[in-house]
Amino acid sequence: MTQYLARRGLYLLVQLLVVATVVFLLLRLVPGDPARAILGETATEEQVARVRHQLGLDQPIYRQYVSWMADVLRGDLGTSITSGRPVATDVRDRLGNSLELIALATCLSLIIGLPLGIIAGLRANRLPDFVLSAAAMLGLSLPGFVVGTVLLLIFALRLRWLPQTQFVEWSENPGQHLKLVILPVLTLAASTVAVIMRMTRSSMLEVVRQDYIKLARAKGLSERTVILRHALRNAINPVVSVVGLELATLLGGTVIVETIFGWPGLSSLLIAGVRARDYPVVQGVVLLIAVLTILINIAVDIAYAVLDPRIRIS
Amino acid sequence: MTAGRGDQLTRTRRKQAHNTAWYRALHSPRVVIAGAFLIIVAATAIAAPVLAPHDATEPLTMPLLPPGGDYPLGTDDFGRDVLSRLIYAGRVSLGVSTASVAIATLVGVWLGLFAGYYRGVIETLIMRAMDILLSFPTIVLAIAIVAMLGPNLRNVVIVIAIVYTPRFVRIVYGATLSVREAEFIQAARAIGAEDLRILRTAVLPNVMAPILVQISLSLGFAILVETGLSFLGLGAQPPTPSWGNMVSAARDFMESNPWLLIAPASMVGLTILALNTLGDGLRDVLDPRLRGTG
Amino acid sequence: MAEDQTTRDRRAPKNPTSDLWIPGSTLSRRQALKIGGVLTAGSLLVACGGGSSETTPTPSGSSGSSGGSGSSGGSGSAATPGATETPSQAAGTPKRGGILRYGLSTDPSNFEPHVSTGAASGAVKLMVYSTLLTYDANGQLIGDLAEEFGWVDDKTFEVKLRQGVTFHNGDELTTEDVVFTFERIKHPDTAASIAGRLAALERVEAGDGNTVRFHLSTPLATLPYILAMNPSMIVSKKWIESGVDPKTTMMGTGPFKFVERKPGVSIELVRNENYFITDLPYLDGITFIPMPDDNARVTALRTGTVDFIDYVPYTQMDALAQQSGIVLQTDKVLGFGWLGFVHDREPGSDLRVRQAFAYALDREKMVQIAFNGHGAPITGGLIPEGWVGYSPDLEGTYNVDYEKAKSLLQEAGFSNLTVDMLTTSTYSVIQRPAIAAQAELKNAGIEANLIQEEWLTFRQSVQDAKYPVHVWGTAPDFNDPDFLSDFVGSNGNFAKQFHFSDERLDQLLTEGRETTDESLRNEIYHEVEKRVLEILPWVYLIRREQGEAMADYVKGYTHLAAGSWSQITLRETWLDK
Repeated sequence: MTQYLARRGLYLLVQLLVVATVVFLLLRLVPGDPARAILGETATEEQVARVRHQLGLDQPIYRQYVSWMADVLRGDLGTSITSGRPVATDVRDRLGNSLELIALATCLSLIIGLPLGIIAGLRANRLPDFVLSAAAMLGLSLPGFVVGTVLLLIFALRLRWLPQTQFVEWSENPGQHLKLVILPVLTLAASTVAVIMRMTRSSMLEVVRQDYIKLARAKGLSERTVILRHALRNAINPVVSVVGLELATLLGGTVIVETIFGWPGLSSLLIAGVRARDYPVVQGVVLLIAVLTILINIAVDIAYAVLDPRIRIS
Repeated sequence: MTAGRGDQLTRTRRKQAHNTAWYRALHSPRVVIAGAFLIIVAATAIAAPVLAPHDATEPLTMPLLPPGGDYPLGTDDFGRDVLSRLIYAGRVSLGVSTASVAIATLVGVWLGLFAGYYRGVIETLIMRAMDILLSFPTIVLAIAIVAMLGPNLRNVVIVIAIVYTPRFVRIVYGATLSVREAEFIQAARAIGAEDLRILRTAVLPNVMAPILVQISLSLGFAILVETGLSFLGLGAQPPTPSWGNMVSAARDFMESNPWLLIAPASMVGLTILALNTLGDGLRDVLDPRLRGTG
Repeated sequence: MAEDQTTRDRRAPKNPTSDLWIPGSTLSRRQALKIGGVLTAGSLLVACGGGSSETTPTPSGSSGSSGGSGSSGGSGSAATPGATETPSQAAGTPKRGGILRYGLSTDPSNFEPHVSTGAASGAVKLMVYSTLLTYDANGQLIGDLAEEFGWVDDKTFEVKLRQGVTFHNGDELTTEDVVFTFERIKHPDTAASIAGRLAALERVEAGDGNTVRFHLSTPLATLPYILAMNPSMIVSKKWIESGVDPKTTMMGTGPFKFVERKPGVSIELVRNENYFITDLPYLDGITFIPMPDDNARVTALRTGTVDFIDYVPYTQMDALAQQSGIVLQTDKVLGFGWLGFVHDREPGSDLRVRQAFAYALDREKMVQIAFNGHGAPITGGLIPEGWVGYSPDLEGTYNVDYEKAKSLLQEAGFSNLTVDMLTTSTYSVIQRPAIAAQAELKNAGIEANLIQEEWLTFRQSVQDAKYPVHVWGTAPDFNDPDFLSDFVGSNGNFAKQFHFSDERLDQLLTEGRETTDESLRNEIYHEVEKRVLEILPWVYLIRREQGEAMADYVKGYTHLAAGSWSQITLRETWLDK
């Protein structure tokens, strides 16, 4: 186990190095000048050149790369070109907001998706299965922003149940915060629920045909025990892996929800960063997302082993 | 996985099982309806120049006319015929999705085969590279590529292809690993067959099932990705219609002119529904163990 | 002085907050002219008589035959009757208190006072900092930090500061701060937005008492307007030199004090109890909430989440105008779009080709298609009605004429012209006219391949003259026809991108900058407009309607169509609830 973690840790470092290098180069290949971005339309070429110099963008790329890497290794993500704020500060606030959204959406999806998936799996090809599968398909087939906009239209504009007010932190006003978080979480969950449900369904379907389930039933164990203790435990692995994949996808992929609901998360920071060619911000956020994604993958692999003793990680 | 235990007898038996499964699948009403729907949509898209009543990019009349008369689905905010746009958009959306999945399949399958077959350094290189690609936020990739190369269909295809390649690699890699040790492949190696030939003639056919399933599912998701990119202004660029940019343009008029949203959103929804249904059907036939993934 | 006296008589009723002393001769006449204002197509408001309403508040379902809630193209044209009355927003006695929740179209990149990064951040900064001069609700130039101002001679401008103005930290505003501010602006490291406009500014000198003198190397008639621009905000010398980062914090003499910025969430301002205008501001504070998504912003206003939004998307103007409880204030004067050419390369190098483009556009139709009627065609000069140099006689110089366009192309040897036309996909106010133009050009046999790039890529491509034709749009950055020198003067940023220069235009523009006499300037800029239409460095497209929407209890706000889109009247805004 220790050896395994050590190796994964080493891989993680190599991967991060590659991600860092790729994002660094990619950004500099993208046309458009950060200096021009912060100076607005009226800036003269001389002014642009001077600001480039101030920002150190006139230095050779390898120099910029080395000095950035040196900073990163010291734990300094640099300062945003546009806002003048430390990248770490901005990223920290946004990361919390993003994680909250993602965690809530995933939990909700598990709470709804798992039981429904089990039901659909056990009643395969019967009415409950058809109804649930059709609903899941719908969740999977509609673009996120259609779902989000429709929710907004109904619950905020027509019914006025969940007015989308200015974003407030949980610590400032929990009630208000909760009101704000509902619609974005529902929007995200619409597709995640479907994914988890479908996975659970097929996994259950697979497992209940197995001999040991038949055996368990034959032993006279209650259906409840059979399902929860034996079937689900064996069916859970693919679900875990799907949850991991969803988590990783959501990390940098909640931009639509953030835009529609004005949620200050990581994705909108990332997009604004790329649009303004704010190199330090984009580099910082991408690195962070990469770290988290890889960590999630490792966690998933470990969860495999914990959940299924037959699997030994190596 | 499916086949590939190496035993000729089992393979034949499985083939027969397949045939009945195919039969069942093809006669399942869900699959038939989904298939028919897709064929109609594809045919409509191909025949767009014949079928579309008007030009899809030319402003013809007053903007935002309600459905009726010359314009069965009304006109959009540029005064263009929504029906014609919907038909032409099918070309773009299906085209983008097909092209990107084709590229992802082509690249992904071979990388997956190599990684699974050769193992060792090649395996590590390919699989770690895919991990990196997967940990790289799609949005940054999309904006970067579009900003570098301009927002046009070719680049949308490139973005989506890059997003889906790692998925194909992973699936094919996994399948190849289990096929690789099969006797008939070991035998082929023993008699000194070329690696590429083995991969093409022996390994590939045996990992085809999960690939087909993944293709059908990815085709649907690629349409969704195009829609998402359109939302960010990175998809097909106006005046060229795609279902994605039609949906995202319609957001502004959702209350006043809801049909602008409903028409393309239904096409996106139904097409993906059909593709998923087909994918599920295929999976039932080809590879029950993969059911529900995607 | 006699002439000055007469001109002063023609001036608008004075704003109570400013008693102007004008020793020179330029400003007063200028002020008699109605600046900006919504003079939509066909609206024939006379350009004098000062105090008439500048903007067109469109109270939903308002009385009057003008019916501001028309379906297409109508909502901006409802001029409020009652000339001397300020717009309906000001009706009633102002009440103190309340916090205005302001839905801001962009999350400001930073607060650097001397670099302009767009209207949204400008609005925020202007509430914290003050400029020497500013505009009143009628769009007329008045003193802000300046108690009195005027020309000493044609190369010396004098400003007398208000007494007892304090910064938010309690320090008193001194002439030294003003001198420091302009030194900072002139310093290349600041990369100040108005540095170029102030090239003729040699020295700023603190005079006796509280006067400051601006010494110019050559006359600069535009100086007062530059001093009223957002990026000429006065900063505290001590504060800046203390090493603060003015990108992340603000401290000025404005009506509101900066409290906190939560990036992507809010910018909070509270009332400055010691604001130099007694009783102002009426609000206890303003909370700016960045809402870059047009739909989200409009929804927020409609659900009462915010009280006020800027940059109302044209797609929602009709709907908002129809909704009760919401008021729209817009203009169709400032924002405009154009076709730019690369002048040293075919086909843009040929005047006949550029003329063909100009004739090939049915701009009325483009307004319908691109903005659903929320705009106006530009068939003549660019200078808006009410400005110096406004030239109504040039209207219709380039009315649509497909045949003429075709024959011009044929003459030039470019029949069946196919050309790459660049635009940006980031801003729909630029992209939509481009799409409309593409369809129009087809009618004259010009096949324009629309190339749509993301904003900064687009700017780079224009800079590099990568494509022969581009479509862009913006608004004049200040309230004087000299803004044209950015575009057609050989040192202008845009002109450089066009690879364009013209001696005659340079000469005229220099003359215009150096001439203080109003009627002479009128002639000069008329000549500029004429010359531009003759040699066509660029081809005008259409103007776009632009403005703010607010709940009907938000009073006292006036959408100024003044050049730099000043939102200074937020200090007079109050909540009637």
